[in-house]
Amino acid sequence: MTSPVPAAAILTENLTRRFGPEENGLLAVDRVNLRVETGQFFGFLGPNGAGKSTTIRMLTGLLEPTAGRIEILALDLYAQPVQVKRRIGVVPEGLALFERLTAAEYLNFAGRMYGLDRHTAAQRAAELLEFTELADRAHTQVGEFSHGMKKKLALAAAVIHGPRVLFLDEPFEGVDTVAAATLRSLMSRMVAGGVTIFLTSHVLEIVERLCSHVAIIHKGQLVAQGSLAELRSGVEGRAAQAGAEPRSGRPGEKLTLEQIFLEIVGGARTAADQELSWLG
Amino acid sequence: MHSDTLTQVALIAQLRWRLFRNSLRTARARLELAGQLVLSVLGAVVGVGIGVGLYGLSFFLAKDNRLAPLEGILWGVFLAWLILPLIVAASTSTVDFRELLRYPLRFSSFLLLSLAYTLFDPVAITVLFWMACIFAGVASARPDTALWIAPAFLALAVVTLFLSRTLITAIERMLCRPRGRELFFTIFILTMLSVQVIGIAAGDYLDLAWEYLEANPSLLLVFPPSLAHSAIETSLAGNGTGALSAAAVIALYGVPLFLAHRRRVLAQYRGEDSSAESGVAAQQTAPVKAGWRLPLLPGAITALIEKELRYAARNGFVLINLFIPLFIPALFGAVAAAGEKVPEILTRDPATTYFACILYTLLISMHLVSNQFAFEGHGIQFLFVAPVRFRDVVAAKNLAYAAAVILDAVLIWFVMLTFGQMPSLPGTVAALAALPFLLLAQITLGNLLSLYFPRRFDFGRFKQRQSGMSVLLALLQQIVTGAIAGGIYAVAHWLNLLWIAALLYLVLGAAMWQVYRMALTHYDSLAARRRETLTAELCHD
Repeated sequence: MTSPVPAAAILTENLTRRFGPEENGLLAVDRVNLRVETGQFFGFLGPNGAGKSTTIRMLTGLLEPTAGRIEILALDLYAQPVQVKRRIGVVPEGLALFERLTAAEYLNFAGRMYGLDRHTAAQRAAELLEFTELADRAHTQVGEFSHGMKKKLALAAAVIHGPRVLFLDEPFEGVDTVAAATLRSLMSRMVAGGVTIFLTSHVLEIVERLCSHVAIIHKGQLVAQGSLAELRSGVEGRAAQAGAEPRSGRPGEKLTLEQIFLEIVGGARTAADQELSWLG
Repeated sequence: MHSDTLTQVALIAQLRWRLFRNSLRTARARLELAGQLVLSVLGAVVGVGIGVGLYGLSFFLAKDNRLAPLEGILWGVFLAWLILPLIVAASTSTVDFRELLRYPLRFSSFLLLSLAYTLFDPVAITVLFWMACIFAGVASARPDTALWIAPAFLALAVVTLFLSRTLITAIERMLCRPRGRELFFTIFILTMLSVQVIGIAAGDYLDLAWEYLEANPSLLLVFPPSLAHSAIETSLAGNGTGALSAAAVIALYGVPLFLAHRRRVLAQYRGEDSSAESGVAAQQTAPVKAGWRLPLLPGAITALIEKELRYAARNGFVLINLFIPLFIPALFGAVAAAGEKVPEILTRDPATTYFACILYTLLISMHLVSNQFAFEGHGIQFLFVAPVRFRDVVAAKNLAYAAAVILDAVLIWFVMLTFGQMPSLPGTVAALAALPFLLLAQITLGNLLSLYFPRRFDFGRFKQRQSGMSVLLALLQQIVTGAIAGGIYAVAHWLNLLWIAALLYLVLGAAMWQVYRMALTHYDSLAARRRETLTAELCHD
């Protein structure tokens, strides 16, 4: 007798999204099969235009897939959208802020939309404002905030109801070191408490430091998925098979995530002498 | 003009043309263009009709040498240019020239474009046409004076153009700051009160002042419309140089107004962002208060209503739309109190006035319903990721709007009472009974239009582009339901059976409630289908 496979926090089957007509439209995401286990800190990487944001938008209900299935915590996202949304928190690319509410009003609003009673929402709003160092701006309209402050507030709103899965689209983009430290601290605390975090990011150093598992999407297709160690050994194994030198250039030294990433999606462009010569 | 400036203006014209062509690739854009065209044709018919009337009137007045009424006409056209843009801004299609700042424009090009932008406004085009009609009427009646009065008309047009632009930018700046908004609405309320106080307490003095002005018309001569009238008078009397002098005095007004306009445009050129000036609050550590509690309503709906009403209170554009209807009965009341002649039906039958005011309230706030997500910005994403059905989101918006309109209806009644124009009980009941039918019809269509023709609006700015098709359909709906309600009212009023009208309205309201509920049950799937269009339209920066 085999024990049942535990339900994944996030599971996709042949997730596909096409923009435009079938014959000449853009296939942004092509039959992606993702599996993210409960409690993982999962980094979703890819070059610009690879399909990261399209995927996360589908996973959070902001975009309908052309084909495929999404399960979050064993619930079908499109069959039980409200039940799924109660269990997840989302910081989308645009941050989803209401700029003419004050920070306190916005967190209160978010809490009540996620089913908290008004006193709990207010209490958690105050605690989150304190944690994100926004307490002294609690009564300032969100539109007046800097980008970093907005990111912290958006994250606070996404976690106010205590989600079991948190989706973050580029949470560190345009954020200074101090704000980034606050965001990291909040995320680490949540993962320690068993929350699953799924984030997209271009900042590979941060992903390497935070994430236990990574997936890489390239031209709409999932090209790698696993723990960092699995990805590293996969790349090194392929390099060894091809008889090539490791990219680090230093035998015995571990490949960084950036090196793994470049190995998988292709190297950097080197401009030929005659290209863009007018740039000086 | 600098050749670089001309090149830049030409490039921008080319860019706009390409943008326009590219924008027509979707069926929605083509529908919107069709709507805009139909609206433009309707507007043109009305505008041209009035223009032809003004031409004929000016012609006969000049022919008969009865020039006194021309002064009133010129004042009317002058004031129309100043006031109409504030009232019809939401339904006119304009371009925000400030978006062009991203390109390396010279200041001279930017200034020129700002003036072109002002002239591009349909109200400006219409009023300019009316001025041209008045000029043509006088010139046809007395061709010998045409050359002498032309400069006065030209100067009047230019001065009014600058004044209109200065007025709009001043109000925009005032409304985009919390203190400015408070000041604006304090002035608004005080004006309403003062109209009443002046109308009742100082009615005799107003009569005296009016008589004094009639006896000393030269006092008005300091204002451009009266100066233009003076130019016509002196010219027709054979004094051409007098007409030119009047034109020169009008032109003098243009100098400070142009400088004020140039100063504003320069501030915008240097990067002033009026939409970002709002809500700058001092750092405060006051405790976070719990949100509202509304009896019988779930927490999420209450939170949505709270958010809607907070947004409305911080949005001068929305507030103006909700406050303007109060002015109408106040105006008639004040004029009546001051002893001036008011259309008989408005004083003889306050119930009809009340009914008309309610229809007007719904008409003027039409675009608040037909583009309900306009001010959400990126917040629309929150509404899609939150565990709330979209039908609940829109129902909360409908409730907040209905509350505002009902408050308007109650306030209008009290304004009328204050001016001694209390509507009769049957009239009041009939008008209030019509409200559910009218309101439900409006929001049922508005909910759909908001999904199919969304447009992003920024806070604190007038003249933002509304979807042409949305305006057209909403207008048609207003006309149809207004005609049904108005027809029932007229017949019932004639038969003295307003109670029956009230009952009929309630039946219609109940039927419309079923339509509203049916539409709402399909709203989640419709919103899911339209969510990409909505987020793309509202989240672009």
